[in-house]
Amino acid sequence: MGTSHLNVHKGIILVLFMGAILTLKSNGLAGGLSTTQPAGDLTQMSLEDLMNVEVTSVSKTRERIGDAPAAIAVITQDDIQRSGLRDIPELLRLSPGLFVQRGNQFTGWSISSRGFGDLLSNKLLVLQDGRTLYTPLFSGVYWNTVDYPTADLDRIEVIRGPGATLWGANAVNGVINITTKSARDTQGALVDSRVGTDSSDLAVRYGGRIDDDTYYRIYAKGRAYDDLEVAPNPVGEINQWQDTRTGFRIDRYFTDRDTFTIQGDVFDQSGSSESEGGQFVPGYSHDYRSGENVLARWTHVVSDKSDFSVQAYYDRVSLRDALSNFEGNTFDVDFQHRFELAPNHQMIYGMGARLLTDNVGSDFLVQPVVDPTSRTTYLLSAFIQDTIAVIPDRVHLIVGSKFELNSYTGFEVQPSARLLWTPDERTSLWGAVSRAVRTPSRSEDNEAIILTTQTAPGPPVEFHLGTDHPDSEDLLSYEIGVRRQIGKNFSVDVTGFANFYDNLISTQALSTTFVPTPAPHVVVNRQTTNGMNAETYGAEVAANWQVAPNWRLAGSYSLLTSFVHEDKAGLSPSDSALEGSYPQNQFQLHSYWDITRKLALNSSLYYVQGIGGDNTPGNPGPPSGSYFRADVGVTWSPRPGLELSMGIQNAFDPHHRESPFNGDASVEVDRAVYGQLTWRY
Amino acid sequence: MSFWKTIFVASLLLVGTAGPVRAAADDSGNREYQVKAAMIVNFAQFVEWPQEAFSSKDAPLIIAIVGNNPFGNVLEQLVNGKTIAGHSVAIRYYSTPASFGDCHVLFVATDSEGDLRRVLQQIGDKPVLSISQNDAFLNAGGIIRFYTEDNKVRFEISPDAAEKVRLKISSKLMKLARVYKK
Repeated sequence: MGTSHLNVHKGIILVLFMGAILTLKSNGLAGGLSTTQPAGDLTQMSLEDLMNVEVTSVSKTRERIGDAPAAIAVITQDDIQRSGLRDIPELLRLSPGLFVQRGNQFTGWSISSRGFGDLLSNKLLVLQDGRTLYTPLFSGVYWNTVDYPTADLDRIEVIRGPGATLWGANAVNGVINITTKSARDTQGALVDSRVGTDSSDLAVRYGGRIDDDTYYRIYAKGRAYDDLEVAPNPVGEINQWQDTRTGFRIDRYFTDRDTFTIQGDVFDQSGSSESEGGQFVPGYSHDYRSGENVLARWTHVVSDKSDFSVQAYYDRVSLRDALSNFEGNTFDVDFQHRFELAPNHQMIYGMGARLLTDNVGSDFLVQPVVDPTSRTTYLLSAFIQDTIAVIPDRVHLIVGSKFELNSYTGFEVQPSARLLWTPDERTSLWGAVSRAVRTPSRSEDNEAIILTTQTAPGPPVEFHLGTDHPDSEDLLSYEIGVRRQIGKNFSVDVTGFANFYDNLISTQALSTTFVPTPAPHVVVNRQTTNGMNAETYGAEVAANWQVAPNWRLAGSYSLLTSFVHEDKAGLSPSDSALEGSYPQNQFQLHSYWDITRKLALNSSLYYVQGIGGDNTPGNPGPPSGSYFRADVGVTWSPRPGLELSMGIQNAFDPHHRESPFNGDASVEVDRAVYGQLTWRY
Repeated sequence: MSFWKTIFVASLLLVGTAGPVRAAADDSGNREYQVKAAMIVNFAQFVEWPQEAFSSKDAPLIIAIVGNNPFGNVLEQLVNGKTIAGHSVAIRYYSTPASFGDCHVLFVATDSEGDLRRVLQQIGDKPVLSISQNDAFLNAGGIIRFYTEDNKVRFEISPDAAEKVRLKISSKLMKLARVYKK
């Protein structure tokens, strides 16, 4: 495994890069642009000067969101640059309604929305350019494998609440949609690098044109992450890793109605963790993760009232860590058609088919981690949605449903109804009722026998985890929202929700018996079953204020309370701790100040309320305290195309705890200092 | 974190950013749209309309916005007292594609591709300089498309679309644009 295959990729990229520079026409900007940036109002400026003015892209985003009857936040490339955050999981901190915890030993980060911030965060659907990043083994995302050259990300859309109708099952609490820029918007060369006390990375990209209609880009990126301490005592260091990835994208615009895109990536990652270990995890582990994917999409405009798109992708991922070796292959085909059924009925429907094959083994455990070790599962889905203009331009009713047939639970229906009222151009109000489901993961639906632990003194304990093949988890969600633009410079977005969960999958303790032969040991029987139900209530408020032409403030506040109830006796400790696993209050405030046209000062303040219990029976689980975090960064652009930044993260605390670890311990995130250089030519 | 640390951090953010508040906030809205509005006014100076586009020498040159107006009143400020090609300039706003009237420059402010096509269909062969920021605009037959690159506003021009409606675009403008060819 490992480096030789990586060197081949690196070599190919280098050759392509050099060949591209030598043989293709440069796609630079038209000549004659002035590099001076005179002050003064825009009426005096020539076109060349106007083309040199730095702009943000907030307004365009706001326009789009105004029409959506859902809680949506869009993280734009400008937000990304100004936040000083680098990795996609870190960037998700910028959205209200998400809880990001750094320090998951297996996936790097735990990210959840609107409750249930547990280890596996299984109620979010995450897509990158239409490809799902969800790992069916543990119903979660391996966030440490999600990466792309930061400067080539177009936007990250976060839709809180059931996105089920369009996106399907497992979008129970939200959809995160990561899109990269088209090849046409990433022409030329880019070098983007960061050196920091916590992590460093280097990305190189070249974009060019094959002919008048065809654009491409290729990139390579490497990252190295320093480990995180587990405190107190210290218990150990975890999550030291490094990875490299490379990829390409080609967009072709042929005829005035067709667009064809093909893209692919390869990555390779290795890391290590060293700690006191826990019940099922060894003290030291070497982790390897790798994957490839290729995706093709064709979009065709049939008429001005109708268009469709077809997409297919293949994704292979291999995850090897202390707990298991997982190898998964995904084949997916999707089709979507938008058309006008009648003057006030905008229809969209789609179909999809997905096949997953996987293989699960273990280096650490003698017995299989899951049984059977190899499985092929399928998913067939269809959705239909009608946007009815009840009063054109004012009131729209959106009704639809998704239908799925999957190998675990059979047939699922997920209907949704939304109402949008836009009394004027500055205001929109919406309400929604939806049903969403989360299908069980591989590990929840299979027999698994996990090895023993020895907690001295006493006999070894053997955990047998079986399953009664649970049904899907169920959500009925009620949401409302208001969006208002006040004056020309201030906008606010408020969302409220009440979610009722049923059939939540839990681990039920069945029996604990002492077995004297062959050697004395204790056998604990547990099984996964639908053992809990819950309600959550909450709200999110986001506001944007363009205080002055060169100074913007943005902030958000998220609130949540949850109540979890037992349906079947014998909830495991981690299930009992679910209620306290998500912060009740979170807020953030950002200040983006363009001091001059070449110099910007960006600062951010985050507050996350503590989670967890206090290790008492009434409030089980270890605590992870509340924290404030302040980030400040300065960006200087001495010439067009060159940006230098420096900043500090977690300015006022040498470290804070973010994720509970085994027992009383928590993972600590340190203060970090970084320098960054981005050069485009 | 202690109470005093909170105060310190909060005041740092406020003090550090207290500088840029200007006494005379002359413009409304967002910088990106100010720049685009200024560019639209500039474009008009580099385009030649056929004779029949103006009913008389005194007829105003009309810049129209259809959809959600993103410019506030920046366009009015920019054209105040100006003449373009010897004509005074008027700004008109239309909220839906169904409703716009005669104009010489049209900025289409809608994200829906269906609406875009509808607007272009309505323009048909009329000598209107159509501008938008939607990715699919030139594909659909529009003339100028805004896009941003490195946080700067750029534009792409389709000379075929301009020729189709008998508009002459100065080579000075073409030189600054990315040229779109089907």
